Amino acid sequence: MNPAGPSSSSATRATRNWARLSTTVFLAGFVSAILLVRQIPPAPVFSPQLRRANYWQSYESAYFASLRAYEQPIHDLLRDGYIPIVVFGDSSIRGTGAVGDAVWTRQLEQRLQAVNARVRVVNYAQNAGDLMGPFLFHHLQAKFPAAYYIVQWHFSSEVGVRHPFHMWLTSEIALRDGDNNPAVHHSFKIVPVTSPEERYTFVLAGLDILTHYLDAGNWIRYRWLGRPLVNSNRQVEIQPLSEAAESDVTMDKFIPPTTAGTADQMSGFFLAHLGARHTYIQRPWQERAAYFEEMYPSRLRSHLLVLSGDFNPYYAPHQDATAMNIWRTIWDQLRADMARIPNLRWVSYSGSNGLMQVEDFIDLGHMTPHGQQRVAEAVAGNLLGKGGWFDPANPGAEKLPEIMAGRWCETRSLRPYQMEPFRLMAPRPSRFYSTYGPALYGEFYFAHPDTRLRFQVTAGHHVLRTSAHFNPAAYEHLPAVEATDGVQLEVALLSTDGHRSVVYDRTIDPLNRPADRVILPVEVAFDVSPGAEIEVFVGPGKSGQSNRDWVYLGPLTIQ
Amino acid sequence: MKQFRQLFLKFCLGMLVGFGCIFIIYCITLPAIPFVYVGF
Repeated sequence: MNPAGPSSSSATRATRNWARLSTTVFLAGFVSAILLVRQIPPAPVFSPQLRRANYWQSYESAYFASLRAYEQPIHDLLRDGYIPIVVFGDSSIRGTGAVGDAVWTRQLEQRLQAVNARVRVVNYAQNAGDLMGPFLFHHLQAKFPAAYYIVQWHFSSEVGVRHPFHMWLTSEIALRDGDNNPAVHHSFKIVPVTSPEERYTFVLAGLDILTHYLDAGNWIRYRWLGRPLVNSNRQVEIQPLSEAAESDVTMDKFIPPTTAGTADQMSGFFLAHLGARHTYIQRPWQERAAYFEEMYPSRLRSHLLVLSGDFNPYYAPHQDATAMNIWRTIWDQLRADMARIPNLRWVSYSGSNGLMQVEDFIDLGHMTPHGQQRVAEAVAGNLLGKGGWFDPANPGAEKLPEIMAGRWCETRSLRPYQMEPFRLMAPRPSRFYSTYGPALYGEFYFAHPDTRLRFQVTAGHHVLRTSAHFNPAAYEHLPAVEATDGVQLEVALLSTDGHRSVVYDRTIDPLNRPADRVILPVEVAFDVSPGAEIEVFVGPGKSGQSNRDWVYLGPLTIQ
Repeated sequence: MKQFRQLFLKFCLGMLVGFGCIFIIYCITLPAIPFVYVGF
C-alpha cells in the first residue's frame, strides 16, 4: 500500500499520464512537420526559359535537384500529350559554348518539330554528367518507357565511376531501384562503396526519400535566395533562380592552349581518355557486346540513341603523333564494333570521321555554335531518316499528330498541345473549323478563311474584343490578281433553334482601302440568350477567292 | 483550457523541431559536395 495515501498515488498517475500525453503531442507535431514538408512538390531542375541547368541551378552552386525533380518534367510532358526526348551527358552535350536557340538541343528540337510539333527536347546534361547519365536514364526509362532518350556514351563512362558530385543522386537511385537498374548493378559491381563520403550520401539520400528536404531547400533558392548579383548601382542583391537568365556566354572561336600548364592539363585529359579507350577496346568482343546488352538492352533500343562525342584532335597533345595515331585507330575500331551491335542507334561526332572541323571546337571537347549545329544536324538526320523515330513509314515510329484542318473539332477532346493556338483567347472556343488548321504566330491567331470559332458563354450581356490585321506580304508589291481580295469578318449569335443573327459584319480589304492596313480594333456588344453560341467567322473576300488571305486576330476576350 | 493551450504549444514545438531538423539536414548537405568543378 502506498504510505502517502491514495490521493498522492492518483496525482503521480495523473502527472505521468500528462507527461505521456504531452510527449505524444510533441511527437505528433514533429511527424506533422515531416509530413507537411513531404507534400512539397519538386523544385524545378531548371528555369523554364532556359530549358537546361545553368551554373546557379546545378550542383556546382549547391542546388541539388532531387530525383523527383528530374521525373516531374517528363511526367508533365507525357500527360499533356507531348513527346519528350531526354538528353543526358556532360558539359559538351549540355551545349556549353552556346546560348539560347544556338544550343544544339534547341536546334534539334526545332528540326524535329518541323516534322512533329509535339516533340520537346529536355536537356538534362551537366558538367561531368556523362557518369550520372546511365543511372538517370534507367531510372526514368523504367518510369516513362514512352519517352525517348539520348545518352552520351564514351569509353570512360563505361567504367562505372560515381563522381562525388553526383552521389546525392546516384545513392538515391541505388536505394530506390537497387539492382533492377542496370547502371546501379554494373557500377556498384565494378566500383564498390568504400569511401565514408559515399556512405554518408546514402544516409542523406534516405533522409530525402523520407522528408523531401532537398526540394524544400531548392524552393527557397528558386523563389527567393537564388544567387548574389551586383546590380547597376553596384549593390549586391539576391536574385531568385526563377528569374535567373542564361549565365553562359557564347564562345565561337577555337582557343588554343595559352600556357604550358593548360596544354599539359589538356594533354593529361586526352591521354587518360586514350588509356580508357585502349583498355576498353583490348577486351574481347563478346565481353564488350555483353556489356552493351547489360547496359543498353536490345528491348530498350527502339527509344534510345547513344551519342558519342570525341575529343578535339586538333588540340592535345600537339606533338605526340603516336598518341594521335592510336586515337584514330581506336576510333575506327569502335565504329566497326558499334556497327556489329544490332539495332543500336549510335551517332558519333568526331574529327576523325570528318564531321567536325577545328573551328567547330572551342577547346578539348566543347563546341562552338557552328559545331553544335553540325551535331544537331547529325542527330536529326538519324532520327528523321529511314527507320527513324519520326518516320511515318517506320511501323514502330511515333505517329504524326492528328490533323485539325478541314473538319470541325470539339476542343474538350483535344490535348493541351493542340490547344496552344487558342491560348490568347478567353474563353477558349468550344469548337472550331479551320480550312488550314489553327495556328498562333506570336500574339496573333492565324485566321485564314474559312475560320469558324464557336464560343459558349452564360446568358446575358457580353462584349467581345479582339483585333484584326493583314500580313503586308498579302498585298504589297504584288500584281492585283495575285494580291488578296480581302476577307469578311463576322460575329454571329447561334440560338438553340438554329437561328443565326449577325451582330457584327465588315470586310477588310487592305489592297483597295489603305485604312485597312493597320491593326483594326474589334469591339462588339450583344445579349446572349440561354444556350446560344457565339461564332467568329472569317470568310473570303468579295470575289470568293482565298489566296493570300493572311489575316490575324489579336488576343480575344468575351466579357 | 490551460491544458489545451499547453498541448497546442507542445504540438507547435514538435513542428518547430521537425522543421528545424529538416533545415539542419539541408544545411549540412550543402558543403557535402565540392563546390567548384573545372572540366567536363
